[in-house]
Amino acid sequence: MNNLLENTLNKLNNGIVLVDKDFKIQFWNDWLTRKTGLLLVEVLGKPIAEFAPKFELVQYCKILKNVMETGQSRFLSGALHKSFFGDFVQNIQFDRVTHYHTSFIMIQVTDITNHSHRVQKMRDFISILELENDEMRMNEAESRQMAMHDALTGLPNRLQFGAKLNGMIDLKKPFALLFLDVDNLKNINDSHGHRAGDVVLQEMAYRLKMAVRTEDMVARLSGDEFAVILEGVDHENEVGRIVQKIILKFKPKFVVDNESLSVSCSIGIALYPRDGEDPDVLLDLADKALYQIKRTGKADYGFYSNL
Amino acid sequence: MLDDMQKSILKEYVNVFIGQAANMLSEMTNQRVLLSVQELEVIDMNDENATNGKTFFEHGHIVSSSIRFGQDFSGRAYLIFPANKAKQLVDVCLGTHFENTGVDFNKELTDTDFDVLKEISNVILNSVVGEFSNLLGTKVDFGIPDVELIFVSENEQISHLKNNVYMLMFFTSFKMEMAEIKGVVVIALGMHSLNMVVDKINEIIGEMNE
Repeated sequence: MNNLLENTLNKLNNGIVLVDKDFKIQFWNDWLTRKTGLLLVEVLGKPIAEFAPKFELVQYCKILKNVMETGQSRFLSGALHKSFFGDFVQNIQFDRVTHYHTSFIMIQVTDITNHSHRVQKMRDFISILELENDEMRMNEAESRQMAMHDALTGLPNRLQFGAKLNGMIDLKKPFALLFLDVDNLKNINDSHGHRAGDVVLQEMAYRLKMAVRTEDMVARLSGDEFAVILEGVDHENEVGRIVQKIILKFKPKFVVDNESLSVSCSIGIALYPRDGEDPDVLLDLADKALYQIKRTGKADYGFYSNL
Repeated sequence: MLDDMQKSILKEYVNVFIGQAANMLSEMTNQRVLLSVQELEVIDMNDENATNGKTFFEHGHIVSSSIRFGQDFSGRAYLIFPANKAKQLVDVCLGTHFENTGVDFNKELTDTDFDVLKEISNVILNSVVGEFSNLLGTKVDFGIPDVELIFVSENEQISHLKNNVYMLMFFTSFKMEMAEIKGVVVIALGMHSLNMVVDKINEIIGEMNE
């Protein structure tokens, strides 16, 4: 049985020292031999302070004596006491053990050198995760932004426009819906190239935003189609004033590759709730008004109600 | 349960017990540490009037170190700090600078911090429980404390100190050069063990009156 116990203690991943009432070593396991280079035969029967000089200090002598006398276990943290055996940071636990009325102190030694490294690694890992999380959130925000906006002009796209339109109707807020179309964009693309057409569209987006109020939405629906929601505006006179501003914004020529181009747009208008209360119906009515303007000369605007 | 005189004597004895712990902590940390019991409450956990709506310690994240002690005089002993105060205590003991800025405790209380808290609570609870057993003239077995970081809501304070009938709550101040930190030492006893304490206190009072 003694051999079995000794073999077991020698397999532990902690240091085990047994000292008697005079604090002389009675057992020293293989783990400690690996850590200190000292064999059991070298230390057996000798004062522990000879191999762990800290035990000569009054403070630690008192601890050993107290454990022996009272049987109260004692724990010493490596963070406060550093090392007793070898030069690695270690936690120490003292327990009194008794064998046939003879008391010993069992000293358990745990190497915690890697604890702080592991903690620092964990902290570094957590910092990296936090950074990646922030990047992901930024990417998500960017993706959301891209999903809801037109890449060429930066304007809200059809998706976002549709959501706004539905929202306005849900809130039962009056508004004017403008459907805009660049006149003869195909000719510009054919004669000056699609890059010029893109520049025209970007400039048009800019001029439209300048012409309307901050609370109004300007969106690019597709190709050369734009839409505007004028919030809180449902009288033709008032709408007319804003639309005139839009028309005026298109008066100055568009400069593309040092060439001045005349660009105009046609505008069809439907009013909520006067002309309809369904978003698809309103879009259809504004489109019909736009079509009429296209047929009758372009570069102008018209209300559905006047058809 | 305990009258003012009894509480006063009990508080004084525990002050002596933790005074011894303070000496050991001073040696450990190379700085002057003063421990004192500011207040003592004795609570019957079965008495709803005594426990209803009562705050025993700060709720939220707490560090709770505990030991079970046994044989004739038996129960459970706790040393409880708010987590941020526990961190402050560790940093002061280690001599590292700390500012309480409401840090995230899941990250900031490290393995090393828990080791230091284990040692501090080992010293204090050893002193308190050990000296109680000396006072009562009885043998008590106990081990090294378990240290936990837990979240306790206002309503959960009682259930944290569970399965025990009478609580001796010693509200304790840790005074060091860099900080003063408040914690609670709780001795949770059954009826028999509480009676041992009360009988001993009555004996002391009797001797004083002779």
